[in-house]
Amino acid sequence: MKLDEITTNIRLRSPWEAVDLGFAMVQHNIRWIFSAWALLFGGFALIIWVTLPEDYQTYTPLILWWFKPLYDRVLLHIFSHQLFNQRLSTTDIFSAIPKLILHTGLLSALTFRRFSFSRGFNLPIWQLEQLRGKPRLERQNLLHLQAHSQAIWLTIACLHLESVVIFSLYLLIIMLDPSDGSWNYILSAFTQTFDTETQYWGSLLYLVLYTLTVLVIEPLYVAASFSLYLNRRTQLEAWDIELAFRNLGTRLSQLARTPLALLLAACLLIGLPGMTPTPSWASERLPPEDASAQIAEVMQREELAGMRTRMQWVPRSSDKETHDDKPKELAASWQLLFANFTKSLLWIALIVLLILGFVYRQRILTLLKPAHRKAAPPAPPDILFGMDIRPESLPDDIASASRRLWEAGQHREALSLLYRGALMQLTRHEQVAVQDSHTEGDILRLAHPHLDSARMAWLTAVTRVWQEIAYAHRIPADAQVMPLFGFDFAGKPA
Amino acid sequence: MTTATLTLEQASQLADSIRHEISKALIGQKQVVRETLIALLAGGHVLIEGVPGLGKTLLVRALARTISGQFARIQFTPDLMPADISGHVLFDMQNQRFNVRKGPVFTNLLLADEINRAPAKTQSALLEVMQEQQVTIEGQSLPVPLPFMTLATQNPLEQEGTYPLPEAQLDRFLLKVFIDYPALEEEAEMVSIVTDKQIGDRFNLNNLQAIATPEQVLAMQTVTADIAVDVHVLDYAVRITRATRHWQGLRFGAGPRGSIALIRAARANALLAGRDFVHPDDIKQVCLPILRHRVSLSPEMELEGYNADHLLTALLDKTEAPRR
Repeated sequence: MKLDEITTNIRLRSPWEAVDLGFAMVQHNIRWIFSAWALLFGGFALIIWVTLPEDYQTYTPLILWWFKPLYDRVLLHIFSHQLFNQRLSTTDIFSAIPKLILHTGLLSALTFRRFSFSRGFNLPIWQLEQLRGKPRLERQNLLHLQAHSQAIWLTIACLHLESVVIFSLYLLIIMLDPSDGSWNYILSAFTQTFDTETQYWGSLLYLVLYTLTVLVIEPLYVAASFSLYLNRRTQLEAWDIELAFRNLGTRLSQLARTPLALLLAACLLIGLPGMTPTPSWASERLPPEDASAQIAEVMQREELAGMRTRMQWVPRSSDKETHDDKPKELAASWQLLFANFTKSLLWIALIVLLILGFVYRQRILTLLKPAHRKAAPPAPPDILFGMDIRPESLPDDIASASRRLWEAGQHREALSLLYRGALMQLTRHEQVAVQDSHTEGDILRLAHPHLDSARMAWLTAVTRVWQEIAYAHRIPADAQVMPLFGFDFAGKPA
Repeated sequence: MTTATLTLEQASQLADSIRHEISKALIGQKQVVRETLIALLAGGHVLIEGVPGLGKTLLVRALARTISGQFARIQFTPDLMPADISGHVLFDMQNQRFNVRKGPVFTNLLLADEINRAPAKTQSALLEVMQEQQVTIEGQSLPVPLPFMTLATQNPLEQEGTYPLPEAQLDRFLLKVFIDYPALEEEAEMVSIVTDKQIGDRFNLNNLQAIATPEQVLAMQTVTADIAVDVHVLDYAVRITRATRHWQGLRFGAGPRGSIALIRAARANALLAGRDFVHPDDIKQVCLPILRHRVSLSPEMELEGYNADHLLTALLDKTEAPRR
């Protein structure tokens, strides 16, 4: 390993900063990674889709997921060469695959180590350090001492990121689909089995989306894990200090070649012995007691004896409250009992809810569907054609009231009252939705499905005489009008 | 010319029998026949839009036959000249003087077939005769025989090489009628009638009877003009027309001629129903054919696939019926 050819800036980073460095590495080298990577992964997905029997094609994404350690090895191969500024061609990458399959512990990674949460972090130990057996375990334990939890969280985060991307792609399709087709497809995934064709296209769509997602996320994951691993090694092996010394060495050796530097060096050689302090402790070995006294003395120096105060939350110590054991135990046991009881209740409630949810899944799904809810029918109007048709404004016995008006010679008022009564009956009791824009003819047509033939005939006759007096200014004949007063529009003949 | 006088009942019955007689020839298309009759009674002109082969010519010929009027047909083409419509003056060598040769417009019923195929110059030759019912040839005004009615047809499918009618001329048509494909039973009946003991596919109009004379049609027009219109109904018609001018989705609305046309057509509609007064339903029933060619849709509504009928129906739903 030639540390001076490394392309990243090696320094001690916090683990999350290291993860960030990994993401930056992918962004920086995306051109050289993606062609080979997309070819490999896309080709693999295609081969599996084509070779699987039709009934099992649904499981293609599962197989792709299971074989992730395989592509991780290829990606790590690319990244490890990128790190030392070696750009691999697509041919190089593909020709390295057999070696990667045989010599990187792939078998265990695809079987009992498949579910390891730190597989990305452990991978360099297998692939780059080529350690096996006990040394590998010791090495892994050593590396895990500090960055292990970050490695696990990185895996979990990438797993979630994949779901987010997949759901977003589905949402994008739903948003861009003007028909309800894709939304119905998603819904019906929960309710019914599809016909073969829908299932085929649905699986294909999922495969494409999953492939796209893994294509984007997996390089990020491998690079971040690798960079986390590099950071841990920098920490253990002080790569940063080594690099700093090497740089210093290079600079000084360059400087040494100039005549001025030679002069300077000569001056230094002459003056230095007088100026350099003699190291007093390096020559002899001190007895342990003197050493500790000397250490204490050294620790008293200003550079080492700096004190600072840091505040942090600590759990309250329990050994202060040791008295009154008995009531406390009783209370604790009651608490425990209550807690357990509540917990059981909650579990039962959860199970019941799940069962209910399953039983009523149809209804719940219909509730979730964007329903075209019918607007509530508008309230019956109070004023129609400038006529007040509220029940309060009308006499109790409309027929006889209008008959009296007619006999008193107020023909227009009589027929108006009769027509208003009919409208009130239609809007309030028959729920006919009469609007301001409806003409008399429209109202007849609207009322038709609500009325029997006798009432319809009466309404038609009333409308006719009303129109005659309203628009022709002609008083209808008594013989035409009088029978209308003898009919109770509300139901029964008077 | 003696003018016959008719009562309302007689006029209404006559109109009914004309309608019945035409429907013997033009099977189905009740709405088209009704609207054409409305235009005839109101003394207006009709623009008929429909694909070829739906019986537009047949309608005009049947109408001409039932009112025993003259009938002429002009096929509009891009090279048709105004003089081909109105007529022209010829020099008679023998008598050494100019003779007026009357064009095909001197008739009772004029069918202007595919009117949008002729350029605007020729189309506007029809303007004078439609509005003034007279033709000016060499400075001499010649009245056309009354009743006079123009039925122009348009084909909605072929727009290539056509000259859309200018708004000024569209406004001169009282009604724009859509003629659509007949229903299944009507088409079957039509096919059986047309093919029964017939040579060729021409409809035999010989069994149509002349129901009325041109004088009677004039009398019917007089009766129609006498039908009472209440001030509130009139107000309703005006409000509808005015609403088209500010309605969202319409580029421009109908002018005052729209309100006038509404009342004229509503009167004819009342006559067809045998009534001597107009009520708001008459206005509503004739509103679409009266206004659909007098309004213009805004481009975005056209892009959305709306037509004038959609917007006018919405407008009618929002316009208050007369408040009585």
